[in-house]
Amino acid sequence: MSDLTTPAAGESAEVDTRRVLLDATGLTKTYRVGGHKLEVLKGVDMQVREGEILAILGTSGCGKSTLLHVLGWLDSADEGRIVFDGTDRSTLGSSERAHLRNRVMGFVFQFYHLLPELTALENVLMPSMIQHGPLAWRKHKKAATQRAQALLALVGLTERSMHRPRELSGGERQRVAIARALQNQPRFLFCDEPTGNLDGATAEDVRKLLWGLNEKQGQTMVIVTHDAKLAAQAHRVVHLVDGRIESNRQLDLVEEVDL
Amino acid sequence: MYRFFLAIRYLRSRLVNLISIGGVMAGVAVLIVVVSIMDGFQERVRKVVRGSLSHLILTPTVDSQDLPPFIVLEKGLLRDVPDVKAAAPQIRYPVFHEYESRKRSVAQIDGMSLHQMEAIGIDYRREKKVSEIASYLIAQHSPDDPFFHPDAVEFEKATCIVSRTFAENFMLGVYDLDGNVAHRFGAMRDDTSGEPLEDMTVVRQRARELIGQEVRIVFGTQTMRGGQRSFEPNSKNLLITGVYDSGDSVEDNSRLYLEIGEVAKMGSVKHAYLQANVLLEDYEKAQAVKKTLTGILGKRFVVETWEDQKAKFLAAVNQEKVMLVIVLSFIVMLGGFIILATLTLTVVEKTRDIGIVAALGAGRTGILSIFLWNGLLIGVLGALMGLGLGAWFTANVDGVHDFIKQVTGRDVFPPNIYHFRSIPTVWHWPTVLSIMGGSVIVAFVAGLLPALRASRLDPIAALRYE
Repeated sequence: MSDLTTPAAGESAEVDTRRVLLDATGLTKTYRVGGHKLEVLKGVDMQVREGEILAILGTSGCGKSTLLHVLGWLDSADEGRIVFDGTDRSTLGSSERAHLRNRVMGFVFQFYHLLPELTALENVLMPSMIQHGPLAWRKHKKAATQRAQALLALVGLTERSMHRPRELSGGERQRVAIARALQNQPRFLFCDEPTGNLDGATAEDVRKLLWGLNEKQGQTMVIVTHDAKLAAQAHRVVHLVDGRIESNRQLDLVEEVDL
Repeated sequence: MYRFFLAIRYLRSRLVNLISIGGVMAGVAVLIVVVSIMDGFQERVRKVVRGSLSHLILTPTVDSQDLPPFIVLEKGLLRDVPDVKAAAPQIRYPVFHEYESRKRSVAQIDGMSLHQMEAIGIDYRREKKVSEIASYLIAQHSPDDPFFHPDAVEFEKATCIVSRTFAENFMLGVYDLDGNVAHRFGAMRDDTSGEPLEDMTVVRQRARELIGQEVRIVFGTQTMRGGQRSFEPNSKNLLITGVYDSGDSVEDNSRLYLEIGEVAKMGSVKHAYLQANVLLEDYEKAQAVKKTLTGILGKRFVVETWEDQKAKFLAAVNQEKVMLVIVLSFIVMLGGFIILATLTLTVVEKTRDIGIVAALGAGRTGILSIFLWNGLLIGVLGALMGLGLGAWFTANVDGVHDFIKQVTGRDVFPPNIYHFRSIPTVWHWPTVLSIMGGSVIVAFVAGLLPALRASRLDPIAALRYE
């Protein structure tokens, strides 16, 4: 029904002994666009191991964002099964899923998706505020704020912590978004075209920041992108073509459609 | 924590929310002001109406020969009914005040006009115990008996107590013959502007000047001629020996207090009294005492509380209040619709933010609460501001009234329609709080629909692309 997820070229000989953090099998997803059926995922199987950077490479509109949303439990698949660190998605209710997403998953989006009314610091604090109720918040506020400030320092935005998103550049906004994704110390980071909206130098800064997280803390990451150069630097690359994972395709095929 | 936090941020960042808050504020303020005025009006009406009556009113239904003398009735009441504190006899008799009218609009006969009045005959010594008459007096010749004047004794004249309103409207005053006084002597209106006087020291002064002046009344006297009952016209000059002000400028205008014997004589009324006013120890017991008295007195008297007698009037005042509250509640409803509209807009505008917050791990109930809080905050803030505005307006109602009068040239609270010279208000916390609470509930309900809509958004659809 689907291809197996296989390691990218160069790593195929090694046996990966790291724990499987995310295990997806047989994911399908169909959209209905006015009476017209649009099959986006046609049976995706993939595994992500702890501490690895996995890139999902695909052309625009091939369904890679949908795949990321399904993997990150933001969206549901029509069929198939996703197990995150031993927990099957289908066994949880929507509020339990929201809770788990808050605690163990971080998201970085192409368009940053910061809340415009909030300062950079408040945006970073948002996952902690969602985690704690009003009473618990009083107890946790200090520690959470310290962590948020430390994260802003990590992404080099200490000076900008009181600025609102519209006062920040694209690169700065994306770094705030990364700090926000890290606020609750997630086990897993989902990045949707994290550099897609940034110019070359800024994109490289953001990439380095993400890779640094992996090197220093062993942060597990799934990055979807159409940028083959970015994907090439991941530990492992899988290709999403026509709703299926095809890992043995040549990179240059994708490069043709790279903008 | 984020729910309240985001609700406040959304509230602060949108100017339209000020319109919502303003809408609630206006509704709450108007309701508070109107209810305070109507409550004040109601309270003052009750006080004034009750003031010239007493707790219980006994009206004889039998012929004069079967009527017990008042002293016997009084003795019996005081002895047999422990809750009765005092009783006083009264006769009310219709009379006309005859005066020289300067107004062309008033019908005149040989230059004279008639003003219909009620002569209330009282026994002052007893009456002052059962009603507020003593406290209403603003001028009297003799401190013990407001009906006493040496001239009356000397020239054998009947005496009367007139009201301040009556004096304002009919006693034009006289020029002092010695020329010592610059104003019309005894006039209760300003000489130049013609407006009623307001300064109480001046009012008292002029009222004292009225004492000794005369009022002419015309009345019918019952006679039996050849076995036929008929009324013979009669007239009399009454010497003013006192001036009172009950605060009810409409009723006062057609009331004249006389000694009860005088009224009985004028009308040739055979009954020594046509009404007995009874004061109780405690008005709360009125219904019980009414029952007891009805049992004791049987069919010779109709026993009523003062509220029974004025039931229609009191009900009308209350009805007016209820109507106003219902009509003005629509302002609060309108505020609710403004909230509904602005919050719906906010939800549409914030669709992407809702998706973001959902991606960060907020559940449906969390997103629901953000917007519920938003509506609730608008309601609470609007209610608090309405409280402030309403309180200020209520406290300064006479100032505001004067201001409106100055600006528009219209008297929106004319005393000859509303009975009172100033606008009465009562601050009743339970009412005020229920107005505020009601408005908050309206705001909350108005926020419910947009909030539900927000919570049902698909976070992915909300996030999809810019």
